[in-house]
Amino acid sequence: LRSLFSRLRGIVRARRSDRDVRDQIAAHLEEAADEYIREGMSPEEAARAARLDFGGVNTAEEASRDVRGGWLRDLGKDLGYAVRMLRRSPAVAAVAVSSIAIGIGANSAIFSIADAMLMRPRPLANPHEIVELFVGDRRQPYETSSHPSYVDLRDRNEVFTGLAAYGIRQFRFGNANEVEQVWGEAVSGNYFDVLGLRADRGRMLSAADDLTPGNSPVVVISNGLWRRRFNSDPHVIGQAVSINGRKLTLIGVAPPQYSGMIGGVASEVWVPTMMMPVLEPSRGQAILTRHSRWLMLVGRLKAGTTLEQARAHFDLLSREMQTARPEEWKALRPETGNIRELFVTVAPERDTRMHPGMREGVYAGIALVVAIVNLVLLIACMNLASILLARGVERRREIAVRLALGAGRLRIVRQLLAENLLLGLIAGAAGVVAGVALLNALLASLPALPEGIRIAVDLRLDWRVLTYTAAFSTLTGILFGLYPALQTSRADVSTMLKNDASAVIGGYRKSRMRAGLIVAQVALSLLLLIGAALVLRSLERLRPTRLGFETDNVVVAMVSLDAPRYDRARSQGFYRQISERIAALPGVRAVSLVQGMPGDFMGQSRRGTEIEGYQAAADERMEIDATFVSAHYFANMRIPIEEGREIDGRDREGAPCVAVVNAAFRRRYFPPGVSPVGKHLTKQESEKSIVSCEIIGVARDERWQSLTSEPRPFYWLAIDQANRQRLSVLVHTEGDPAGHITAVSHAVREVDPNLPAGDIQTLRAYFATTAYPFRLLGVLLAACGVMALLLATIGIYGSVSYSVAQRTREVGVRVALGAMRNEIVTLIAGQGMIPVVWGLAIGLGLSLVLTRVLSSALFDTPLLFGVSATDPLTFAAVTAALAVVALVACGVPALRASKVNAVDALRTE
Amino acid sequence: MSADKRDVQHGSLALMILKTLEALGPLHGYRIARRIEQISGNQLAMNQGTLYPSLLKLEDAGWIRSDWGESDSGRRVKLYTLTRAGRKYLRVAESDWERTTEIVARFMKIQEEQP
Repeated sequence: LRSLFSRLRGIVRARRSDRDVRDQIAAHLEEAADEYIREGMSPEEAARAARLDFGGVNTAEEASRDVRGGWLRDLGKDLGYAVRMLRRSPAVAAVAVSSIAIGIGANSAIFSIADAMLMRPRPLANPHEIVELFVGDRRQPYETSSHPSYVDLRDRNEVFTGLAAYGIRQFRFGNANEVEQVWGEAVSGNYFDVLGLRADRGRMLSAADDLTPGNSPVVVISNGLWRRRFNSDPHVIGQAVSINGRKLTLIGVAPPQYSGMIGGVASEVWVPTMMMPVLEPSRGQAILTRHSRWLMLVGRLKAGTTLEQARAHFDLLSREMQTARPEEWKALRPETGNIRELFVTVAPERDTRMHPGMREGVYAGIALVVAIVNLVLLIACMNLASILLARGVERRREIAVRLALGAGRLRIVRQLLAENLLLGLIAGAAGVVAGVALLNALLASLPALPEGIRIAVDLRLDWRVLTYTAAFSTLTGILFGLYPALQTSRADVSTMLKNDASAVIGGYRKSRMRAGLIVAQVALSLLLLIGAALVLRSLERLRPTRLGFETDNVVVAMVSLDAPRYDRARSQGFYRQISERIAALPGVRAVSLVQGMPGDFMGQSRRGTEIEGYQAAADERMEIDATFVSAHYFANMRIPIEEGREIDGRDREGAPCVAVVNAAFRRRYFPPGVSPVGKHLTKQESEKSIVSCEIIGVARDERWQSLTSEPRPFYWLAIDQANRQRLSVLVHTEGDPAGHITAVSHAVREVDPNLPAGDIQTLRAYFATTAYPFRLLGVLLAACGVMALLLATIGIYGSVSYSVAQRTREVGVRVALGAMRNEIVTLIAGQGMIPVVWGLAIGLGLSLVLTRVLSSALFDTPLLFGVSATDPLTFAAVTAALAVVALVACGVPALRASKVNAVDALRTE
Repeated sequence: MSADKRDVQHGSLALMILKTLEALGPLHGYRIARRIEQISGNQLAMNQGTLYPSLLKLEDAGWIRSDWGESDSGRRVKLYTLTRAGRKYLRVAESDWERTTEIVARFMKIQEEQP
């Protein structure tokens, strides 16, 4: 630092010092001349002699200047020169800058998303003190706690200043005429105190609000909801608002930055846990008993308590609870006969931004994407490297001339450094622009979300990533820009100026290096392209038209009936009314009802199913997925029935229970040739009753039940013989379904005006949502693949063009000696293709090994389905495509070379 | 300049400047150059110009000091003076130089004894 300071001072003094030196030299020459005159020379002779003794005046001045001021003063000059150099070859600069900008932009965008989701702490006071507790068994440790257990843990623990509980619930917010579904949290009274959150307006919940069931009808809302539904009205505090049809008093508005404990999805209301029996009367008081385990626990460590101490403490508490509350903490599971012991897992805030149970999958996905964008950056840097190498060799003569004119080697290196620094700076700036554009494009590509879900991700470009990527690319520039320069500056100036032959021989090593870069670029591009093609091909299989059922012209409306009003008879009445009402709408072909949200199209797993004629193994868990559907579901959905019949109007309440199974069910539980039709399966309806249903038909396997895996055994029951509150109404329309959405919405209202305006959209739109992560990955991979292809093409083209330019004279000699034009093309293109072929071979090998990752167990749902990770067709097609592109990139400069006129070529240089 | 004149050995110029200033007190550039040439008996081929970067370096190092003054012929010149630090450095450099030359001289002798 002191040296930097003295250099700065040197710059300030430089001007004066320059003049000093000049004055001194002038005086010196005069003195010397005086002496020669005294010795009897004429004044002219004397002046000449004095100059001769002195040597180069300019050299002395220049050398003196170099002593003072140093590099910092020269930097400005160097940068100015660099700007001129870059402007002289704008194409090179543009390619270099844009390839690096792409790499930087992609990296920053992806890292910004990862940062927003995983790396940034939630906006709580001192987030490092916050820990979350999970209560579960060995198999599934990241589960939730019951309310009594929460109270036990809260009162027994000695490591927290406070332990709070919250449960994620869906609420119906607003009056009957503008009701909307929102996500929110039922929280303990100390929740906001523990998290350290102060009210933006009014007050937050306090311990007094959460003492006795149903006694404190109060609610806190989010800043977003306040702005959306109340137009930021400052006088909302104290107003009554309707939650799940109950009037609650609005006591406070949460701070704007807080959107609940669950990352990504916004919570919009907070009510005391003690209000839940009132707000969810279907569960009533049961929600506060040991049978309902729905609360997540969050605590704040006492000052000086470490995570390890907390963990040790809760290991002890877990054992204490197993003794004190065996009914919950050490329960016997009747179906397996195993004893299930619960214990507490303590996780710090930073590990809970993503639910620990989901983390591995998400991390694997992010790691994959990060690996991909880094590959692109790597390819971009290689591109930059080969451009700079080629340019470095081109500039050998320039550098040699400058050396001959007396420039110091250090000075030239410094000059080149400045050029690369400038390149890095411009690319960095362009990278920021590219990153922002990419982030916006990603946000714009988000599909419409299901009702009530609001994305709460705070995206901003991360400067750390920008620094990392910019540093990476600048370093590449410096390394590869400097290497040829250093070589040149070490070489003998005169031979280089005299004769190009030496330069050609000297260039051999560099051309090998360039070829190596091409090999690597082609190999990595091929890897990326094959990966992208594999994911895209399996996405193609995910297209609704390929799922094996009707998805065109379907509107899906999600309806949830509230329990106390809808008993079994009223529910069944609703099914009938809604079906008739919507079927009567013009342009509607048919209506089907399915239990659950489309997200649950896989159905719910039903325990304790027994199948007539099938002897389950001792340790076999007879959990089979099932769902409820209305009459003619299979016909409406165009799912073929392979044998027997489907559910129809006969299968009503009171009629014998019926079931349709799928082909996978038949394969799994019946020997070949044996028909399940006529056999019975029994299902556990509730704790007490076990119902036996006759299998009436077998439906063809549909991918419906799972978009991503092979068909599993599955069966359908008649919804008219049951009481289901959450259902999807599938409306089959004659024409474009989008036009029917409003009419369907009105029809639902007419049947029951008190139902929340649920989510109504076309089935296609719904699939767009569910397939979004896959589509995003596919688009990302494809985009990266195209970028890699583009970069590799530029790299190959540049390299071959360069070698053509180098060999102009050689080509001229060949033409003069009678070489045919096509021979020249073959020669040059052939030589250009050698590294490409190597690259393709290596890339194929890499792909064979690495694309397996895509279908590996690293991901919750393997990314490839129905496509093998080593699908020969994909491999062959992508390799061939890349080879053709490379051939064109080699061929164009080769053709140009063949048009060289022998005389002109020999005259050059 | 005759052919048998020698180039100034690297680094030794600084030593010569310091020694000259020690012996003669404050001098300006031309006088230093002439003095060095005289002492060497005109055996050194020195571009007098190379003196100036060296003077700047020595000044930066703090071994000499410069002030504007007048030459014998009344010209405005910069006069260089040895500083206390420069004197100290010269002591160390002198003894180093002597040791080095002594050792090198011994080697030269060995070669003479065993041709």
